[in-house]
Amino acid sequence: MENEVNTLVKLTWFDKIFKPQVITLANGHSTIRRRSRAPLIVLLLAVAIYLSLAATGFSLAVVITKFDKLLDLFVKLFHPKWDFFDKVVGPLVDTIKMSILGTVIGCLLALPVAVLSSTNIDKSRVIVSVCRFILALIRTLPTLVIALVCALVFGLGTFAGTLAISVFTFGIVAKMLYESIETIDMGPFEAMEAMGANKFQAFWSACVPQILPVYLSHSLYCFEMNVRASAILGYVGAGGLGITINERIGWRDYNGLGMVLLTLFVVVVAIEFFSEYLRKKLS
Amino acid sequence: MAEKLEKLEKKLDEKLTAAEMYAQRPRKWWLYLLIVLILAALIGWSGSSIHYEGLTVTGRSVAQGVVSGVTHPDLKLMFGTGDTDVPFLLLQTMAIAVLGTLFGAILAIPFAFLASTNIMPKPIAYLFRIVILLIRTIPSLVWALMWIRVTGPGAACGVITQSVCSIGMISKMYITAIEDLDTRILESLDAMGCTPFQKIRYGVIPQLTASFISTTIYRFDINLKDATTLGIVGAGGIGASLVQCLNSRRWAMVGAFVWGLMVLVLIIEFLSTRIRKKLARGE
Amino acid sequence: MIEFKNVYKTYPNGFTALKDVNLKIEQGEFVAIIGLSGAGKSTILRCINRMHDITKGTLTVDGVDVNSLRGAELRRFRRKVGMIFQSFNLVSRSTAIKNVLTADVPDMSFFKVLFGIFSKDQKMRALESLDKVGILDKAYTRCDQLSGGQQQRVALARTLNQNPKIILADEPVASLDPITARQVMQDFVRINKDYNISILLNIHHIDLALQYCDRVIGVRAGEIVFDGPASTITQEQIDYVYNGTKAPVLGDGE
Repeated sequence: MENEVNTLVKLTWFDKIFKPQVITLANGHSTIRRRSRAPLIVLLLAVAIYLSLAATGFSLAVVITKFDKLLDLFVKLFHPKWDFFDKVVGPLVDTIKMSILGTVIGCLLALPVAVLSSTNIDKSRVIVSVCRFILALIRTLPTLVIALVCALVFGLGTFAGTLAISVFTFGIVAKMLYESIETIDMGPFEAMEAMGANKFQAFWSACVPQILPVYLSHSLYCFEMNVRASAILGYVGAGGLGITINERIGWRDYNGLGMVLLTLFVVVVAIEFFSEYLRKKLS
Repeated sequence: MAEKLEKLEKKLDEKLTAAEMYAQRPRKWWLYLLIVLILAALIGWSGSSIHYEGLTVTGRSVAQGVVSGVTHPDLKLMFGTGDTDVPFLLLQTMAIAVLGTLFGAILAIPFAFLASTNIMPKPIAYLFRIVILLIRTIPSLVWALMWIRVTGPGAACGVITQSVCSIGMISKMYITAIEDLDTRILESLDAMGCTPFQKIRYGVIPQLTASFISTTIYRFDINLKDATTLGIVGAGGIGASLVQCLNSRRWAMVGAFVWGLMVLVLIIEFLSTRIRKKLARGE
Repeated sequence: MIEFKNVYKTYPNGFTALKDVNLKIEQGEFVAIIGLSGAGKSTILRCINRMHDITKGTLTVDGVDVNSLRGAELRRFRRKVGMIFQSFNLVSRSTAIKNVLTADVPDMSFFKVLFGIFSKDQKMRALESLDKVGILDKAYTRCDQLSGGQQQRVALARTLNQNPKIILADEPVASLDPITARQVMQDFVRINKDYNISILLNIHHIDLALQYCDRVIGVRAGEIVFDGPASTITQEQIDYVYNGTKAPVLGDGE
């Protein structure tokens, strides 16, 4: 009986502790029901929440009693100081410039690395693992920390921001891209090899036409994220809108901040709309 | 007239020769040229205001410091148990992400249902979409700076910031899941004579849980990375200490923080990807 | 002329796919290889253009020992041998003509490949190849908008565009519906007669093989158990090839 049960379903360590229930019908046929994991998960979650509350000192009461402060702030945000617009344009343009250049540099670097990290094209396990590990490490570093280090090394300004965005883009686009490359149809590649093409010719004619639209789509998506992300890089001195935001908050000029955020909102929505349109065209 | 039509039809029926087909080929080179020109112009424009001004006076020493810090981290800090040591700060960062994600995931549910076009009338749905977009566009750092006015600096501020920030992306993904609902199941439940409540319990919830949980776990991944930077504005977690050490150039401590951060994020990313893969396969 | 002499093929996992295969195929023959799945049909085809290596014996094509070819020599040899696949293996996002043009890629310089520059002459030849299989009007249509039969014809045009002396077709009609399958088989017959190209095809459906091909080779567990004109094969011999199970006929559903 035990053996029979084992062959039916692959048992995990969980099932070895909580033995599956065997249900036998009146006619002698039987099936097994694995114990639900839900109670264990709920228990773990409850413990995690309890510990987290203790570690953060979060209390809902404070939030509710002092909520009016936030409301005040919001009222001011929704009454933006319109004439502040002139001072927003400059940093905003800087932010967009940083995002464009950072995205382009990051994406160009990402393409070869993504190809080297795809198991269906790169047959060397060692190169694949090394590339993926480096990418994973790069992705763990917060963009703001990279920006701060860049600002310390290269001085305050847009160059540091561009560099930080490039690094961030490189990590994320390369990952999305190698995941997509692994799903492409390798049939055309085989056909090219059967026709007498060498590896480069086969890759370029059979794989690149499949990769290219995905690559452009990922790049556009990343550009959307970068515009939003680069808006705050100025906080650590890496140029762009973040400097203005930091300044407005420092002076408690929430009407001015409202104007900055409104402009950012309009630009982000416009870029997202445009990029989504392009991405739909690509697929 | 009829004669003309007949002629036209005849012309359409005629087989084209290869030369005629070649003459009719779509000519798209101008489109490609246009795209290349636009791209070149964009890159040129954005490069115009980003200048490399060489290293700062201390740039070289900062770069060397970072390298030496990462290669020789402060081990006492890294494995200490006090509340300024790496393990505690990492736990606190994780606690912020756990609570922030959980609250965000719960708060996002009403938003998502209110913004789904297949449940709500279109005007209401679009109104809520704009609200969601607003939440998403305001950078998390700015949210944190605003919430600090309510909760004061500390981890609690991080929690509430992430709860709000997460609503944007989580509800966006929830909406996709809700709009993909398979309504044929509801029809069959209707045919069995189920009440609306029963229909939701057995027709809607089972379809949504897996993708909702998957979204939440994915967001936890993002929130954890985000929580590491929130500290920069005083919202708790490891970020504050990391930035302080960077600014005061205590490289060994920087190294300890960076290592701790990388290991934590890598582990969480690995686990989250595994769980989401399992969920996608329906285990 | 293709000649197998005592050819053995063992896969790295220890499975012996071909046992002592002896074959001789003259230029311009139209040969069907029949047998159960896993009997070694694909292996025979893929050894001819060295997509697989043989383990023992000699395999010569037009007097060239295939197994001795290396690198550029092998690629030059493959130019003369076209291959057709069950799943078409087209770049489905590209237009039909772009797929056909890829047949010229192996002979082009690095930079022409890099930027995808084809001469007018090459484009005209590609269009003529498409015309030979009767889908010239779809030349500038993306392949993912073509039906299965049309896609297989694009693949056929791509192969014709490399001017092969031999075409190897691996289950060319297995993923097509019965009517299209017959049309594609007729295309093969026409190409075989008009251009005197040898055609070897693996085929699952015994009735198609008997109807369209001149010669039938039956493979069972890696050995050739029948080799002769399609008209002479008897029901017993067919049963033997298929190991007693019923031979699949078109329209059975796989």
